[in-house]
Amino acid sequence: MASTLSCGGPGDDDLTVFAASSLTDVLPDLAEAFQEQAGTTITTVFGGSNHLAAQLNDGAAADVFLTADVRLLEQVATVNRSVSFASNRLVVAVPEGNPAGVSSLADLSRPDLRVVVCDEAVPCGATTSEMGVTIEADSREISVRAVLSRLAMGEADAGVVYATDVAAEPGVEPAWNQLESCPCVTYTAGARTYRALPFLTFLASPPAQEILAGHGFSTRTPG
Amino acid sequence: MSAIHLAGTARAGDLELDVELSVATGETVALLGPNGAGKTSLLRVLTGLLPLTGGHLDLSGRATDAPGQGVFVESHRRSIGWVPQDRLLFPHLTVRQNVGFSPHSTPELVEHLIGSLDLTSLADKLPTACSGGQAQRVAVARALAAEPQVLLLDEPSTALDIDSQHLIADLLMGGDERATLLVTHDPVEAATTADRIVILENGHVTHSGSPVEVRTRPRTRYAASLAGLNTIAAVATGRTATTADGTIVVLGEPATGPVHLVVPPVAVALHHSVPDGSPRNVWEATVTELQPAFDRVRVVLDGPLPIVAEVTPAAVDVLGLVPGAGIWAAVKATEITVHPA
Amino acid sequence: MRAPRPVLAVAAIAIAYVALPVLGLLQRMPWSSMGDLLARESITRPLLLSLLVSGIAALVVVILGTPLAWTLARVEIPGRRIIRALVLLPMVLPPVVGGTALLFALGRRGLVGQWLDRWFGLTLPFTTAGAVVAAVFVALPFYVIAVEGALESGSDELEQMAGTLGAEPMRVLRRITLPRLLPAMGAGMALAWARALGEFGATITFAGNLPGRTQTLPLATFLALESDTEEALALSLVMLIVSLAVLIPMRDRWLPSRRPER
Repeated sequence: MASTLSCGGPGDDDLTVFAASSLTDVLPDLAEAFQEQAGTTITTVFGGSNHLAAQLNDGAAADVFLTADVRLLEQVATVNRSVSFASNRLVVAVPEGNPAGVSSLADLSRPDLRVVVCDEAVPCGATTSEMGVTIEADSREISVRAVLSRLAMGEADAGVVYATDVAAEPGVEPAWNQLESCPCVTYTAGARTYRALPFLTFLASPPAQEILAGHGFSTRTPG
Repeated sequence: MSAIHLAGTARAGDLELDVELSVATGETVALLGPNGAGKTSLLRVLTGLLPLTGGHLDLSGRATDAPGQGVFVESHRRSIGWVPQDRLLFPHLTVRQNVGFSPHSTPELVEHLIGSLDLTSLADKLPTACSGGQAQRVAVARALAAEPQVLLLDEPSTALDIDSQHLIADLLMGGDERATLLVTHDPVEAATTADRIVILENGHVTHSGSPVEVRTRPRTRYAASLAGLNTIAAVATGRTATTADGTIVVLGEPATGPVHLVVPPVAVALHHSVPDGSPRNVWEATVTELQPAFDRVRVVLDGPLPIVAEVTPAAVDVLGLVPGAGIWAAVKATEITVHPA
Repeated sequence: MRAPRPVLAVAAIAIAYVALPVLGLLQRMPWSSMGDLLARESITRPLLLSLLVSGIAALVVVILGTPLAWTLARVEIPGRRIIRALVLLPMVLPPVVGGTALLFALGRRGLVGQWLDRWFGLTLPFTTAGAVVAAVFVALPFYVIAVEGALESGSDELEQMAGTLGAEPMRVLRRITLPRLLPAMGAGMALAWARALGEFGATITFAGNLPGRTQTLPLATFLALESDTEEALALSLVMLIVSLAVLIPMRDRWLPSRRPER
């Protein structure tokens, strides 16, 4: 669940970043760009946001916490500055070829369709329930990866996942063109030390935003 | 009619069984033999738990096991009653349920057997409540309840109290419609209950005859030992034989090669001093032990020819036989029977 | 027999190893609010579903497992070793791998599942039946081990005796083998049931997670840990109580071999 990315030796110029798993693909690129710009290396630890927050509360020494769950940031004691730097859209995805012919949000309440979503206990599930449509889900998976897996295997006819995941997964495609739909998940970076502030600034800057967009993330704030 | 007709071979571990055996309806045959001779294996062949490797077995005139023709009748389709040495009572069933287990039994017969074998007070109890003798009676009742045409008893009297022995013996007396094969190591039991004795040694039948025949004309060392006879191993060269100790024995009949010399204890004459007379074997021996045997005394002798003599108690007094005493022993050559080893 | 001190000392450590996490769990329990928590539907629903799924799974395991154990112990079939290893595989396989394998076999596009779907409209994933299938898959080896062990260690003398008395094989099985096997079957069933109750990986991978239909206690507990710690603890307490309620009455019978009864 946790992995470490190290771009150089230890030293004063070394930041530790705790990040939600959904940022696994994009963070290495951001870290590389930041190092080129500021010369600081970044050590990353990925995991479920709840677990990371618990570790921070127990005293883990991280400089930055990146999460989609703002409430968690508020619980983690020593955060003294935060910035939202990206958002991720939820889209209705289907197996390649759209075998069940899903074409609108209303289709999600069709009784004959096998629909899977994230469970409310995980961030993407909490956001899914705000989509404002009744979903007759057949299963509430414990991670976005599990939902994707169901779709890729053809076990489910439709599911609600992040836009970034659809881009990365071969056997899965968006049910229809869902650009600019929301609700979204907003990612916030919380700094826990003063040393971390430059990284926060970087995240909000155009170069970082470009990288994020390249991975399928949307603009900093929903709109 | 022959209830059992067996002429076949079987294999049990290292033992190769090669037996010809017939038992007629109404006949009781005692099967004797040393340990490992194959007695239990023979019973297993008859019950169908050990298939033949060659030959054939007929039970009540019906082909039952013939590997050459691909015939094999399963245990549960043979009309056999088996009382094994360890009884194998069903521990989770009551005595009555044990006795009545066979689908061929009837409730009337079950009750009759329970009564005849004095098991009424135990009928609703589990086998653990039975003593050895009671358990044996239950096992016999269970086998008889199926009204088998062949009854197989493996060491039925071992460690059995007298009452149980009598009850069982009485019940088995009335077995006119069945053949009974009784495995025992007790020659007395064999002699008193059986019509015929069959001796099994090393997988082969070495003797089959009436109890008197076997006693008086033993054909093998084992048979002789059953009858309480002396057997001495020696190598014969014509009219004499040499024992392992180097003692030379004069024989009544010529022989060559390895032999067993059989000498009845009563044929060993004991004397104060060197006897004279016709050619016979004479030597000086030492008394090592005196064994009272009913109305006789067996005198165990050591010396050039270790042997057991049998005399009257009066003779013991007259000859002054005590352990450690010296005595002259003589055996006529004609009293020695020679068996090839 | 007086046990040597070092043996007792190590045994004490082993007991502590198991007892400490349980004590840690009990110590954190929100005892004051426990009454209200336990009445919540989010706890009673997974509890009832778990009891249903694991109960049915235990019965299926006995029905499938007894002939299997008997065959492995008594019948000379070629490749017996391989078959036995195959039957025990779910014990060693990570449950998620087991669940994925079940999907490949019985899922909508699975080896056999696709025909079930096409011909009968029968699908197993996302159904309670699917949860039972996953539970049976992981629990079966436990039962087979217990029963086969009992059959192997006991001899078949009594069965042979029954045969000579004229009882044909089915009758022997019914009146001799099975009654004597009952203790081992009971112990095996309890073990299998306990395993089925605690099953997580295969269930969530194969059957999915939906309250009231496939969300068993372990699934509910895992999700509660992500959001409501008090509820997670209450669910853990429920699982603890239910498990002990079954395991304690088993007393000394773990993998019973037949006591020699003569």
